[in-house]
Amino acid sequence: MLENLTLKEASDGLRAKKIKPSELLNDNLERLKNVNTELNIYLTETAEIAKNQASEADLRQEKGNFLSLLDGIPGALKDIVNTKGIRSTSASKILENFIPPYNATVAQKLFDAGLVLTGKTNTDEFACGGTTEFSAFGVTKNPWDKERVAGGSSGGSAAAVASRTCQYAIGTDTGGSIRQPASFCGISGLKVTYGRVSRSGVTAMASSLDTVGPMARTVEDLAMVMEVIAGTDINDSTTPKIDVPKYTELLNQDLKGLKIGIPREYFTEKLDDENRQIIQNALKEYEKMGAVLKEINLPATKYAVAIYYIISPAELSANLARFDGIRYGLKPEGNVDDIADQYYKTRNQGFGPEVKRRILTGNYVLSAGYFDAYYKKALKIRTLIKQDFENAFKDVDVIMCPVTLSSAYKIGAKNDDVLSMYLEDAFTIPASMAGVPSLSIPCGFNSENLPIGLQIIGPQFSEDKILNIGHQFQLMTDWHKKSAI
Amino acid sequence: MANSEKKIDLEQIKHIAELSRLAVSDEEAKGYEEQLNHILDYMDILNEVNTDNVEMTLQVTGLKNVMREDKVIPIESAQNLLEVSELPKINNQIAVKAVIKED
Repeated sequence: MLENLTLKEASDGLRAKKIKPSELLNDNLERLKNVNTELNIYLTETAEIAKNQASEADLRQEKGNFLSLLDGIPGALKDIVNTKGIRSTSASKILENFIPPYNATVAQKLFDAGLVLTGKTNTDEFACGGTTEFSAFGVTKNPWDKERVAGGSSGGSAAAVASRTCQYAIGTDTGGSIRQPASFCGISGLKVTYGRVSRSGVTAMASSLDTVGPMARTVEDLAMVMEVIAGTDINDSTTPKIDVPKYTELLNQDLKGLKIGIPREYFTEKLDDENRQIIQNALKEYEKMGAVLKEINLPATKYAVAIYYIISPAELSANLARFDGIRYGLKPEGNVDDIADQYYKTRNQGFGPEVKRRILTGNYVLSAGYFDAYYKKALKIRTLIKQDFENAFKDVDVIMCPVTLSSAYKIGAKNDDVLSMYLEDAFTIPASMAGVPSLSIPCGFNSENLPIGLQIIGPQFSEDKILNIGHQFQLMTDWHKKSAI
Repeated sequence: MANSEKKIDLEQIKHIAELSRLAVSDEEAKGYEEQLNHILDYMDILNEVNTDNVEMTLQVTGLKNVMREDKVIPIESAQNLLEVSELPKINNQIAVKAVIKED
């Protein structure tokens, strides 16, 4: 039964010596064994490694020498986070047998803090997608309804937490890849300010947008993980030297007079009606806590998807150019004539259809004759989106809106129309473009018993503030306590 | 309004694929042609926006010239890095196929 403990409850229980790390792990692994075959959450299970880590944590507990608040607690890592000596595939055939010789900074920090690793979770290949249907190793199913997607790209991490195989997980968010699966699976997820958490050792998708962040059952749990993973890193020059607040100690601020901006552009006719109603109920909850709602405009919102699918494929195509199958990666089948033939065969056999589509799109918008019309134009409109948020935050403290247009959809529902699949990201991309932090928390369930998420967006480096605002909601409501299994 | 003229044709798809070191089959190329045109038509929405006096946003951190001390730090041994490659090794180097062919 210990798998049902939240990260905070587990941490308190370990400190009070009511439970042992190895007992906690046992229960999590028991759950993992029962659900993973059906849900396809983990690409690599690391039970043996976890058992060793838990035994070591047992000894530290006896001596009272805890490494951190997370010490001895099971967690999972999205498989684009590279782990030394542990297969890290990025859910791609091209890295199917890749065993990294080093740890990503986020993995190293968590291991140093006493992570007990349950495994590496599924994702769309190279984090390109919103359902994990583009994983080379099959889709992750939603723990609330096995006919539906868990979301993506961090769908494996979301399902790992929602099905209670671990107390927390690490995901990445480039255009919504933490927030959307968190919403689809009824858990909490934080997309951090761009640069707040090191990207070093996390396979790059779109370098100017990629962020690494925590996923867990409660906002309080997210704050605990953030204290360990946030901060500057010599190996990632985009991490500013800004102090990391004690997030867990800043969760008790009352919300009287808090000004919440409600952007009209997020409440269009495209938003599912039930979803709209549930979001409005959540906003009422905030009014009860003393917050004030104010309608605002973010006029450049409607261009966000279009510029995302210019900028992110452009950056992806450059990042994936290094996959030549020489220093690491797939050795192609069949005879290889020369080095060029090796490149073609490696990449053709190694990359899946969505990744190839994005490489082609990226190289097209970067090519002579189209660079100005697409790429430069997109970068200019990115400025307008950023300015929208800067202007809004002159008037309001935070922005609240839906995470997604609808709840989790059926597996295969969006496969026929690439564009309509891309348009699903309309509510998560703008915050990514502006580089601002954004929290997704469960705020209700629809008539099909599927979770719906509320998005809370703050100014750059306001993680402490939006975590507090999310935590206050969870003190008043029970949506985050509902169990999928 | 979708532009009836194709933004990218089959020849261009094949050219871009070659530059991307992706050997796509004729059938795949046709699929990508249709999908990319569909996506690029949607991008027409951006023409609505006047961006004449707008600066580009290439990054959002505002950081410039991030420096570190020029100091030798130990890294993984060459042997560990070599082991990651699936290709044959000769004298601690990865053996690759011919780069330049004899005529």
